[in-house]
Amino acid sequence: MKQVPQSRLSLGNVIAQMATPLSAVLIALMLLAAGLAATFQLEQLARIEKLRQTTAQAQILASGIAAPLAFDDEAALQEYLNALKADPQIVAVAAYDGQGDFAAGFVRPPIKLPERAEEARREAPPSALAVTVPVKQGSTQLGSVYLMSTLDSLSRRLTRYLGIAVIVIAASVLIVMLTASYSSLRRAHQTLQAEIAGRQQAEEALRQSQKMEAMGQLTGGVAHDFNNLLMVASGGLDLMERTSDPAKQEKLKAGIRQAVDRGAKLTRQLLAFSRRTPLNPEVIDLRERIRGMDALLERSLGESIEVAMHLPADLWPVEVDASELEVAILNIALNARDAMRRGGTIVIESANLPGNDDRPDQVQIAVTDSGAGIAPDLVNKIFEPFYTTKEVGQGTGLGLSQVYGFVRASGGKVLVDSIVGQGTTITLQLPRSLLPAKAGDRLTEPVSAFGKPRILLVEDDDTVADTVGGMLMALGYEAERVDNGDEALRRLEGNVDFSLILSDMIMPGEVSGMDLALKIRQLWPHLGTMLMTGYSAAAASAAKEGIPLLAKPFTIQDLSVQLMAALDRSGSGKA
Amino acid sequence: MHDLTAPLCKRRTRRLRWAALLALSVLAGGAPAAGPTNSLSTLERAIQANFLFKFAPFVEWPPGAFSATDRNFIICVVGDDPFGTLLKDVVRGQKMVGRPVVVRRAGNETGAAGCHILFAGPSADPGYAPFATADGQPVLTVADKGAGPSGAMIEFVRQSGRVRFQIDDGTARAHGLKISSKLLGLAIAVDRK
Repeated sequence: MKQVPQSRLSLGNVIAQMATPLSAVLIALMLLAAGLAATFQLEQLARIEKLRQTTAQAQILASGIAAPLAFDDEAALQEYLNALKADPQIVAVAAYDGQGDFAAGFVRPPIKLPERAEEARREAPPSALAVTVPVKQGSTQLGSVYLMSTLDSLSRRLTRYLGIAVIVIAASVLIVMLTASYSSLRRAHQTLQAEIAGRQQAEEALRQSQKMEAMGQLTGGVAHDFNNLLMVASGGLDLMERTSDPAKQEKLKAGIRQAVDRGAKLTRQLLAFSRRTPLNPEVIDLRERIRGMDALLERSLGESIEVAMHLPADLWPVEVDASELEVAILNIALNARDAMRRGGTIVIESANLPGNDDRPDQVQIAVTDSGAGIAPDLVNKIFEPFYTTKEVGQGTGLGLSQVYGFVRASGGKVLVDSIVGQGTTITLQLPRSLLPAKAGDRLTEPVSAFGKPRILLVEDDDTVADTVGGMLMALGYEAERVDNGDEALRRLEGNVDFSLILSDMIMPGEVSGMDLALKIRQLWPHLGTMLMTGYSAAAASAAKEGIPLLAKPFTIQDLSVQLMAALDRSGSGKA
Repeated sequence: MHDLTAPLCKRRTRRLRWAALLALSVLAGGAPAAGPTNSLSTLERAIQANFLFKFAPFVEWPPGAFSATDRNFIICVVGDDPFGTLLKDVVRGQKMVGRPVVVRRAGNETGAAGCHILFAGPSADPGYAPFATADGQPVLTVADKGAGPSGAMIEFVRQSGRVRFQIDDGTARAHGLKISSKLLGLAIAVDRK
């Protein structure tokens, strides 16, 4: 995919390389030479044309004077010859009789007439054309006519070629000027591109630091929350050990499961949140996305803040970077929380804004708090980077600048409506997308395996291995576990009696999960591989190689669906 | 601008050339015939001989006028010959319609048969009717108006000391001859009836 723009670039480069001042001068010189050649050619043609004209005139004259010349009627002869005086370019005319003697003629000085017909044939000055035509009646030659005509004067000819000269010179100058301006433009363009690249890097860094700022705000709340979840889980397990009442155990199990699910959701959101990814706009359903942030908002805002969402079901889809949107909403919510020292409710509302002639359809998201409000003279400042009203160490002032940057990059607007003492509403207006939203992940029922496929499980952590092994068995797979990549390769060299290899990515030993997957692809191309990891960076490298990946923690549903898909792929690879 | 109506000196050269030609012919072929022709100056005779030959290119004969057996273009002279060798000198080496030009002396009896141009000189013969034999034949008849029989298609006349001619185009056309308008234009009189 990257080849196409590169080849286009190289073609552009070739042209750009050709457009040097030297080549421009060469082209201009060629143009001048072509102009001179054309002029010379025209001059030759004009001379030939003139010769033809003069010859025709001489022939007409010869035909006319046949009888007067034959019968010595000098008066008639002179009359014929004088008729040519009307043409100022004819400088000499003479008629010679059958013996070659001069009969009659006229001449304009300083030209001299040849005395005899034989002499006439020889004379031809460079600036004139002389023709001698026989005077014939029937087949009898009665004499000859001599006619000399000057060519156009030099100044006259120069005037004729002035137009061509002006065009050629103007074109040459134009070429040189265009090339000069083009090359300076090219230099400016290169500088600009370097600058843009630098800017982009800086922006990228800014975005990441903005995210990290939000992360910092989150971490405290999240750690606290995790402790609570762990408390629920470990306490629940303790209680389970002490009771044998199945109903109580069932209740405790449900509590533990709920706590673990919430923990998993929270870490997944955190990971997605902190991942260093380029802006990646996708068409999303706002309602689904904002609702999915409930856990994140709850944890990061603390217990004194309530979040109320009013999200209509018929919201139009928008095309934005989903993780940036989440960061933006979180940043607004965090600001709202800080404005409400004594707690309160943050209302997140959304609505469709049908467009009119002036603006297109938009979707707006309004976040309202009942906090301190912002003084009117500060409203314009809140989106500036590093502007903060918080104490040193409390905030970086990057939060709302991220909001502003995200909304502008998505083609939208941010509106601030604040009354001091009553509260603030920050409204994001995002353009409507006409494409349908990408369907979110839906919870599916676990799918049991067909037959009893054998899975080689490569996992160094015993607890995780036991859990995943248990899940596999519950799904109807036959699982065999090895501790690390080296062992897995040894096991496979003995006998390849597996349908799929399910491996952790980060393991002790020389062969990592990634190495193992690549090795298997090389040695046993038909054998499917699937990787599991909790690290987002590792996940990205697996995605680059096109290896299916399970993000930890995963549920049994996730595992079943992914396994079916992977087996399906390796099965079709076999066929 | 200089008009050069054949400057005097040059005109003189041309006249001198006629004289030279004349002298040559006298030396080569003897004196011209005596008699009434004497009234013509030798210069005029030379000019007439020259004109006689030069009429030919301006006249178109019907195709039947050229016999397949005789490959020559024939100028006949009947009556007293005023030219002597002058005419022969003029036509020597010349060709007309691709045929060598010859001069033939024609008697009253032989008539105009085979001739293309018939020049009738003066004659003392009372029954002299040189053009009778040419009647109905495509023969261009020429005579000197002052010293020859009348009724020729082209007649030489003198005008302000120069040799000119008048043309009876009607008779020429009746004999199947087409005379070029260029020649007609130069004639001092044209009878077109």
